[in-house]
Amino acid sequence: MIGALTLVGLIASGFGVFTLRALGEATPFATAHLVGGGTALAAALTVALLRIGRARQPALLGPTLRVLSAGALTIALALALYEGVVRADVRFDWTFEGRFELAEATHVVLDELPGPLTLTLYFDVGDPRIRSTRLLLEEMARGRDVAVRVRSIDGHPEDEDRYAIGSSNTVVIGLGDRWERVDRPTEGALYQALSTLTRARERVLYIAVGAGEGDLERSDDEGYSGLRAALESEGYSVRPLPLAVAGDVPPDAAGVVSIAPRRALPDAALAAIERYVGRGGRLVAFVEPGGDSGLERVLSGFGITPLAGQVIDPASGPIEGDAPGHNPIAAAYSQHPVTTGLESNRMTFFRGARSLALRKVQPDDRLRAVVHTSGGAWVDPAPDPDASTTDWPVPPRGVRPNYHTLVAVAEIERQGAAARIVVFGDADLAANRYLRALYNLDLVLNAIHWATEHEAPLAIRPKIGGRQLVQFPVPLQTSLEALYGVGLLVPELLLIAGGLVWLRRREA
Amino acid sequence: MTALAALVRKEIAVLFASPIAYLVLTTVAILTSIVFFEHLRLYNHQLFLFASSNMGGFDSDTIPDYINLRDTVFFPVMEQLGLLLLLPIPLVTMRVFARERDLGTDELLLTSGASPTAIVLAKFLVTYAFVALMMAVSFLYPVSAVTEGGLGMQHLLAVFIGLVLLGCGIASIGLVCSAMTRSQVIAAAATVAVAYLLYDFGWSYAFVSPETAGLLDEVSLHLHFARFSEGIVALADIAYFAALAVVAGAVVRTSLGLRRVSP
Repeated sequence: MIGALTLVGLIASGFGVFTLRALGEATPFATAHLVGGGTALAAALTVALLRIGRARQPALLGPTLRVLSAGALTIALALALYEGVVRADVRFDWTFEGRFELAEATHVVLDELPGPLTLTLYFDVGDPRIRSTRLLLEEMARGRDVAVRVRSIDGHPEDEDRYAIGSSNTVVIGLGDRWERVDRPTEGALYQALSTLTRARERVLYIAVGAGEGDLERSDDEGYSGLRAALESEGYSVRPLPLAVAGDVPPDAAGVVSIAPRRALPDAALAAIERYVGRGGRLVAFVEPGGDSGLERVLSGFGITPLAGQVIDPASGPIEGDAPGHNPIAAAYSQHPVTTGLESNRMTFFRGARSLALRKVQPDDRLRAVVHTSGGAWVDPAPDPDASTTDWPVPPRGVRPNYHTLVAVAEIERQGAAARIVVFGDADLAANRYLRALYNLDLVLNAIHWATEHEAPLAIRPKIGGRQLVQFPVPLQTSLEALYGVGLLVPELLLIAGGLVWLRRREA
Repeated sequence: MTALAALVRKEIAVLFASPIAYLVLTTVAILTSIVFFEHLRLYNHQLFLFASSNMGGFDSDTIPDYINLRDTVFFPVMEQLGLLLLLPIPLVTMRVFARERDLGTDELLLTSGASPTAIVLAKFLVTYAFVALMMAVSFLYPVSAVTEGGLGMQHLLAVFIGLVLLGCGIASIGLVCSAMTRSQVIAAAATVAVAYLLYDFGWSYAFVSPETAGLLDEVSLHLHFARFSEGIVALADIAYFAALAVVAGAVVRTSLGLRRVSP
């Protein structure tokens, strides 16, 4: 009787739950099954209790109670232990890219929230991405005045209209009566939205213009609009600075960025840069092979000399239709705030680069090469643009391959003021076409953050989501061969063993 | 300790003397391979769709981030494997206590001098070890095919631990069901029903308050497995499955104890 009732109850409840999950609503069928199943289970329990009551014998009461209390005590202890561990909330992030380890910058912005924050994740049923997003939001909320809510889009059409939610896996960050929507909620994107909401004061970053520098308004591959967008989303106010006309860098400058001027800079502009750095300014300069705008001479005056010619690094293959070695892929980084988050497996791409030579101008100057080529590179004073894409380059006679510097930093003190300089031996890595290639964006933003002493947001990983994951087809034939060659071996052996056991039992 | 070791040896001998164990292992391994291969085919299909020549090719930005070997192939396969466990594990657990009861050998065991705790411990340990073996066997092919998928060995280990714990969680439910009846069929059916009921309460967000849904979610098997699947190893999840095993063991131990003292 008890067994039959339990069986009917479990099966009916199972069907009820299945219908509920499949249709997403409590239909009469589902409700009837849940009610019927629940009633059968309750009846089974009642019959069992009645039977225990009837079978009770005084002599057996003691042992029965001992068994029951031991069981109850064990269960209580297990639950108490579980509760304790839940409260301790210890967890480890074992993901390859440390996806749920928040960057220092994110901690800073969350710790300095001016009020309670609400993170609402909107989803469509069945979207697998919401799970990792939810874990990321929970990680942000841990120990803080942050509420995480999970809402289905269908269930909240008013929110869909209000926040213009276009797709599942969208997060709306609410702070008081202000909100920001994040469509692709990686940590970097959430951080940017948070910093927009909490931004107290914008840092002004001046971009030198007037001598054919990289254009932050251009949105094609050659332009730098992506860099501008990234800088603005990280809290900078980006303004153009015609140095030759202005004559000096404005006093509210957090830093000056010069992107590979193609024409010679007027003396007034060069003097303005020299004065600015001399009084403790922050300069980020990108130089291109073959360029000679005068900026190189200024940089050399502070100890970083862009060498003539182009770096050839045979460790890099033929990329972008160029000969092997012409476009270095850097994987060697020195430890420095500029290279935070970059490791040998997080590479950066340079589309043709100059080597930088370092020499202290004053004894207290601190110069550092932070990004290097491989040890087999050299500088070619006149690289052949039509070099074969199949022949591997060899160093010219008498040239000894060595490590070459692709990015260098300097901390120098002049007239009692400390200045910071970062020089890139290439400008293309920050152009729209390459900014989001490999880890270029991290390197460029790290450099600007460090130079402007805005070091909290250094290397929020990954600033670009999912790019390091494999997105190339896996040859099905190879996979099928692996399945037939190895994958089926284990089931086959198991089947043989099972068959032999069955035969032995039959013979016995 | 000697009694426990003897009981463990006996359970292993009984388990592997039956062709069912081998059949279950074979079926799970083959099914996982087929599911994996099918996902791989769909992944390639999606890639070619997004990277078709009119969308710019593979070096363009037209492929959405979520289409990658990890999120499109490995995770869904592991999800389905988790759900797939609801079928083979009850086949293994159904006989552990129910068969002994049906044949009457449980009386012999209970009066053999071995304590009920040792009996329960031995049966639970051997069942859990079998689940771990089943997971290892079914894990081999997908892992060998996606080690280059940007997942990392630590993450793979986390997924494996999660799957083994999920399997042990389902096995714990199965062992309780097996101890409550003398019919193996009822034990297996009850295990599938209870485990399915407890598997995931994500659907409840549409019907009850978020607090209640959160509470239900907290007791579901899937939520605790899902964090492992995402690469998060939380002690709370390990404690959940451990607590489930202890509670199941205590229920079975109590049931055996009551049978021992009953007239």
